[in-house]
Amino acid sequence: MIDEGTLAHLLSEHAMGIPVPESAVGDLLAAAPHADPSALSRFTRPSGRVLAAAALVTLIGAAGVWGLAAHHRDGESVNTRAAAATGQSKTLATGAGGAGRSGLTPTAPATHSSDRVSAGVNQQYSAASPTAPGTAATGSADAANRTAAAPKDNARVIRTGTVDLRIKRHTFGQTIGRITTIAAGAGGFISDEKTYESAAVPSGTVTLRVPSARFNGAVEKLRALGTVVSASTRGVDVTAEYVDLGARISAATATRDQYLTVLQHATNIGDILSVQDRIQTVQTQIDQLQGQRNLLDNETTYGTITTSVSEPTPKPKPAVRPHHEAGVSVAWGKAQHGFSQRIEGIISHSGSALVVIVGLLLLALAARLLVPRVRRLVV
Amino acid sequence: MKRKHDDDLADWLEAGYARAYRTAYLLVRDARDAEEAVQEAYLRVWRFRASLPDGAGREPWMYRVLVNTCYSFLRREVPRRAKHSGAQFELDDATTPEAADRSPEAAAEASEAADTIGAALADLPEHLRATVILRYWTGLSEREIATAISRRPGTVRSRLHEARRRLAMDPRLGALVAPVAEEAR
Repeated sequence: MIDEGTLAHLLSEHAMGIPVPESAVGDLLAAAPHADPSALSRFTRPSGRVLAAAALVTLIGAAGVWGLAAHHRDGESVNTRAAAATGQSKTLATGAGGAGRSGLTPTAPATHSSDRVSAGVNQQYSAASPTAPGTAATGSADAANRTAAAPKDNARVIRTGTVDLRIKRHTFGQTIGRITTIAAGAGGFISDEKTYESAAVPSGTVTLRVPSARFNGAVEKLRALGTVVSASTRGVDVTAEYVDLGARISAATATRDQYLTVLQHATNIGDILSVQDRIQTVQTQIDQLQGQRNLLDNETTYGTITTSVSEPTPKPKPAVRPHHEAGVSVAWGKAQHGFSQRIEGIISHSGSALVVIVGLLLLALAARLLVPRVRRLVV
Repeated sequence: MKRKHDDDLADWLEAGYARAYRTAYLLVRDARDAEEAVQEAYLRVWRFRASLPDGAGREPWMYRVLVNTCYSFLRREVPRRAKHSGAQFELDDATTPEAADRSPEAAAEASEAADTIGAALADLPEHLRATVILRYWTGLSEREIATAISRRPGTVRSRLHEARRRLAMDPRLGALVAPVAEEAR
């Protein structure tokens, strides 16, 4: 356990090191709005009357939320029927998350967004897949027809897609430029771009954000840029979540307004502080909900297409084959090689050869001197 | 009479500005937020000055308003502060009168110690941090803190005990605590 004196000392040292800005308390208080001091008697805890009023407000708010949720559930079941009639909620292709989310559940609890069931539209094509359309062109047309079941009226659908393209060699930069043009032409923008042009095989990934209304057209234009290796599009209906957020924001706003009414009638500082705390809590909730709704707004207004582009891998160069020379050149080569070997041998063995030669010369000299004398003695 | 009461309050607020600001800074760990929190708290105090208790009761009342305001800032400003997280830099860059008189070595040591205790405090949960700051920096008694944070004195004692226990387990404070404890003996 840290000692109290030590802690106070350390904390004091730390706090005294904090620079204090110049005080403008006088100006601040002079400019402060004046409350009616007679209305504020003393500093007390919240009275029973204010607590009762706060409880009443909470009950009204809860009832409002319940009512809106019930209304929302009714609306949701209507949407379900409408979606079923247009085929919008039908899963068109097998997708990772689409099969289990193919319909709306009218009895789904509206207050738990994580449990909310969304309608999904998934499309997935792959050149290597046996279930893929025969050619890119037919797949393209098919995709256009299927995604023609676009969200209508007030439906909120998050559109995402991926297109994996294989392009001709030395056209990487040009293709990236075209993708940028497609995004701009659709009224969208490039949200992310990663390219590797210095590599042996240029490749890159470009993420486009295009208005949902032009999502399909942009996908088709992208597919036309090269050979489609794989492509997939997905639509997730978040209308239920969006409507629910709106209902919760309305309910929280109503609660905050009620608290503001209570605040106007509060008569002492304790009550005011208590109600202000509650107002701030509700305001924080409103801000969070508004933030979630803004995010959904953004995601449903602009679809996201992730485009991968790569050039084909160059064929490996053939290995260098050994060169077969003619017989004369081989003989000449061998002769050169033998000649140099002999020369080297002579040089390396010249020491011993020199001794032999000197020895032979000495023997010859001795023979020349001795042979006449021997002849004379013999004769 | 009323005019004198207002003047006294204004003087009292002016005199306590530095301590209030540093308390707010320790709570919110951001210079701009601390300044705004103190200003907002002072405005509330001034607006409801008629209900202000006299004498010793005035201080816990003011700190209750300040702590509540700081809590509001913490709840409201978390995303922005997470983006900045530059409070410590502001502190380092500023020059205080106390720091100007120190040698560079002493100033560096003091700065390091301040960083350490600041970081250890920052790791405490909000409710423990506020209690520790009000007790060991602001100097309020347990009863006054109880008034300031709208809790019972027993709760305050419990929080102080828990905060000291957690700080004692903080390895960063080990090197700082030993010399100070020896100096105190």
